[in-house]
Amino acid sequence: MSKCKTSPEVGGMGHSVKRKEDARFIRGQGTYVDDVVRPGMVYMDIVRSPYAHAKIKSINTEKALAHPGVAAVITGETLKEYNLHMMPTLMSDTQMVLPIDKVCYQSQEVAAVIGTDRYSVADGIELVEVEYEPLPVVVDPFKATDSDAPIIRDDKEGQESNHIWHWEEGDKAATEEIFNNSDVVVKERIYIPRIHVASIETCGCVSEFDKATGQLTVWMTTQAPHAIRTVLALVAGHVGLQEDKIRVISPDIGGGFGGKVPVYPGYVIAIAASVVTGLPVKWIEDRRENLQADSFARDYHMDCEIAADKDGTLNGLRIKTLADNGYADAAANPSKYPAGMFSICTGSYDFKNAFVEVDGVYTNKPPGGVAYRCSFRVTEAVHAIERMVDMVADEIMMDAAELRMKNFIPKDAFPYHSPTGWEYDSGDYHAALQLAMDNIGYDELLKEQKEKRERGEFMGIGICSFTEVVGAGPSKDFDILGIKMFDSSEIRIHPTGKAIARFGTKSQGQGHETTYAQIIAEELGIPFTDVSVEEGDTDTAPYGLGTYASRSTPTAGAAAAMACRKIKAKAKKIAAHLLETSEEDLEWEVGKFSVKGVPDKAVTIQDIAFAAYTNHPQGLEAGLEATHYYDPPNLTFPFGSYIAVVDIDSGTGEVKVRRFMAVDDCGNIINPMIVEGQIHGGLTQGLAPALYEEISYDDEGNITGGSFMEYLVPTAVETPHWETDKTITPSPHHPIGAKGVGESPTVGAPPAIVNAVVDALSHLGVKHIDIPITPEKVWRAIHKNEVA
Amino acid sequence: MKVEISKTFDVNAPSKDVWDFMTDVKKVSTCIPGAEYLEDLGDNRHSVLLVVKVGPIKSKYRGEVYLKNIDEEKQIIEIEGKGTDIKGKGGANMELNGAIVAKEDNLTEVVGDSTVTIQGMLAQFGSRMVEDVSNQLFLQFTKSLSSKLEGTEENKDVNDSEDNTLSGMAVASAALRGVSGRLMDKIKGKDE
Repeated sequence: MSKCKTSPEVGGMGHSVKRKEDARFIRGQGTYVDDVVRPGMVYMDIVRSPYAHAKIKSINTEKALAHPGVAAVITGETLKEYNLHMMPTLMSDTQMVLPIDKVCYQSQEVAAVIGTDRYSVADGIELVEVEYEPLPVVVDPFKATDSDAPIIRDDKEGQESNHIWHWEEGDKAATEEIFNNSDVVVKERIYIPRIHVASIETCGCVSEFDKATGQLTVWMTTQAPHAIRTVLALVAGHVGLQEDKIRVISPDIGGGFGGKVPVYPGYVIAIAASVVTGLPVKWIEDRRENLQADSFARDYHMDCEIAADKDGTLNGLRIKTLADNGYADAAANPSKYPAGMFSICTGSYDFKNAFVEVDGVYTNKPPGGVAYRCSFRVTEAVHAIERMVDMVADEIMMDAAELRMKNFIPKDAFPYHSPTGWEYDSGDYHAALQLAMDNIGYDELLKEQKEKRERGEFMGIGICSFTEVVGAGPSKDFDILGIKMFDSSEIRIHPTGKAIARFGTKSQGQGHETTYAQIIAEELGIPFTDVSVEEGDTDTAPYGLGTYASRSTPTAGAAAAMACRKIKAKAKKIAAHLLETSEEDLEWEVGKFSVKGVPDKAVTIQDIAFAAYTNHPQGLEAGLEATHYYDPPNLTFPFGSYIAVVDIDSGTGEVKVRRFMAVDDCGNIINPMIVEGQIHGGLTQGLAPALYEEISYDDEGNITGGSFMEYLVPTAVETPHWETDKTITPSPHHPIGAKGVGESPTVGAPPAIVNAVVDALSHLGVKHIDIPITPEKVWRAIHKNEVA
Repeated sequence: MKVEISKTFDVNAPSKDVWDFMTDVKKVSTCIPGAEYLEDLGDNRHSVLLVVKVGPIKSKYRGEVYLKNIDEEKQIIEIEGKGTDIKGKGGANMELNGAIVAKEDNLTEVVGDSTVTIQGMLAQFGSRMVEDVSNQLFLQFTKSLSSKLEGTEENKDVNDSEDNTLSGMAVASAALRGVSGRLMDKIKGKDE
């Protein structure tokens, strides 16, 4: 989109208008869950397990109950009376809300204390005495299926090992054939460790139950309020909670990144407590609880193989993965496949064939996972393919950019059918990589690297040319409990020409109040400042599946455009009536209908809105509003090429990202400033796992990365200057040609940085380093030949 | 987390005295800061209580000590210990192999190799400190042991806090000295 159709005042697509929501955010006047205070509200805190696997011999609540501020202690036995001690997961597994007889991971919820204030419940949990008998622990997923491994889920009938599921995609025999007939086969085991979204706001809720009316209202840190309401109605219908009596409100959210999609036990306990007591109950996690017990992301052990020819032609790809699901398969994965969209792993390359298999296992770790700022398992897929392509380049001594250019799916091959069954909508991979190379001065960097290497300095250049798959999604691939993954927009134009628009999605900082208004401004010519956007209240918003997987623009954004078009069709009838002409004689130009050839004879959308309530033609309903539920025909496939330049201190092993050029293509852009902001944030969240973040465990299942002392979230100090640019390849099937951008940088940044580090050390024989690339790992790689 | 601790120290006392002392759980527990002997469970099993304060975390462990193997002839002893926090905040197991070696008439060497496995809060938050805490515990133990066996019990260690729990401040400052000492060693280019 080279030129904006609307004026800056209207602020349609392509204008970098300032974010409407920031007026309250920068003043500290947002309303988050913890800001919600209700009359008579009580507080809840949670006793958590110190053991990764242990029998519970007894829970003594006597001393806690003797505390003056403590009102009640809820245990698994309490919840069992209501059959709420277990809950289903999205993956058709089950998960404890509170345990009856054993705990299966450190920090697991054991009991909840309800009291008059936050301090009393914090004291109260210290007074609950739990007697445990430790059990053998399964930490290493590779040992989870050993014959002598203890069975973690002995509560599940027929579960005779810790293996959960096996899933495969692609043609095994044909891929094997390709491997047998290729010149080169490159193999590597690549691990993407557990990480955590670590959003600024932790999770929590305020649950209020009115015993007189039977109405339950839950203010909740959730990215998907409607889905939560339906789930609540389905799992708690038997205790009298029916969907029309449940209101879920997701107020301002301080970062979600996928971590606020799951239903955590704390929510369920708080809701149960409010239903039983009739009092509003507030539960807010502290930082440690958030890091240690909430759903993790990643944790994939991938055995990758690529078959290629000596000339650099990539022929076949094979990946065998072990997925560490923790104690339950509670993945926030709305796709129909247990490993989500992992089979997108052929990436941007035209492989002849591919075969992917994934096995899920139980271990004594918290359940999950979440798609941390990505569509489910895309980060893992992109990491695998982009690392492996570099390894092929290294093996056949070909330039990594040249190898990519040679194997990219060509621009004219779209829609492209991948060997694992995806239909890529559009792409121009050559253009994106070329632009990144030109911008960063790729050839000069190669020269510089050569000179530095001769001087003994370590400098690396790393490329990642990723293809993303977002916008969950078409009903053939996705559903949540059978609910199709459409999203919705309800737009109402007031008599004065202003509008209110409501959506089934929920912004967590993405700027929906601005971008949705801009889509409506683009379609109807109503200035974006005249459009109020509301989300997150199930009593008012139309049904939708929420915000994650970069799905808001692809689904709800499309729904907004489609609803606007319905409104425009009615507006045209009213315009014809006002201009005393036929609809065929009218033409649309931003914000007004005019008579063809007589531009002065025109009515604005505001005139039409007023007439819709005051002077609408006979036979036409009053009002000007429309609702649209958009079920996307396909996913969208944003892409990009990133180039990282790193310098390494050989003395300390420290990696410094000197430059980072990110060329993104997310189709048509609604607000370039917001897109750039998303990219900056996403790149930083890609830098984080590449160099710093990991939730690790010792042999006994103790979490050794469970506080910000060990879990290193990058600050402005560690974050390099991001250089960004774009190409624009619209999605052919999306009403406004947009693709979504939230997750691209998080997905694309880690392999670019890893490839750069490995490139810097490749002359020492280094082939691969697993993330996070800590100074210790780099130092060891450099000095391994020196130290005896 | 697992911590392996190997220590050797000398006591100015005859080996028989040391042996008798070291195989008496009741006596040994008087040398461990924060330890309290509870009862003899029979069959070489003893019940003890241990209070450890590390910074804000005060843990009270109820544990069982089992003298698994006492070989007077070879002067070796195998001990198993396990304890759980009485409030359910975690636990620890220990396996200790000890040996008593008579060096001179009035000089005995005590050799101890132990593996301690820690679960829970302490393992999460204390992992950087545990080795230093262990060293400090050990130091206080040997001092106390020596003074009892050598008959100089009056010379109480200045670090002993009044209530005889393992003092958080003492341990923390000793641990910090340990860390900064290692740092200084590195700066000076010493090998660890």
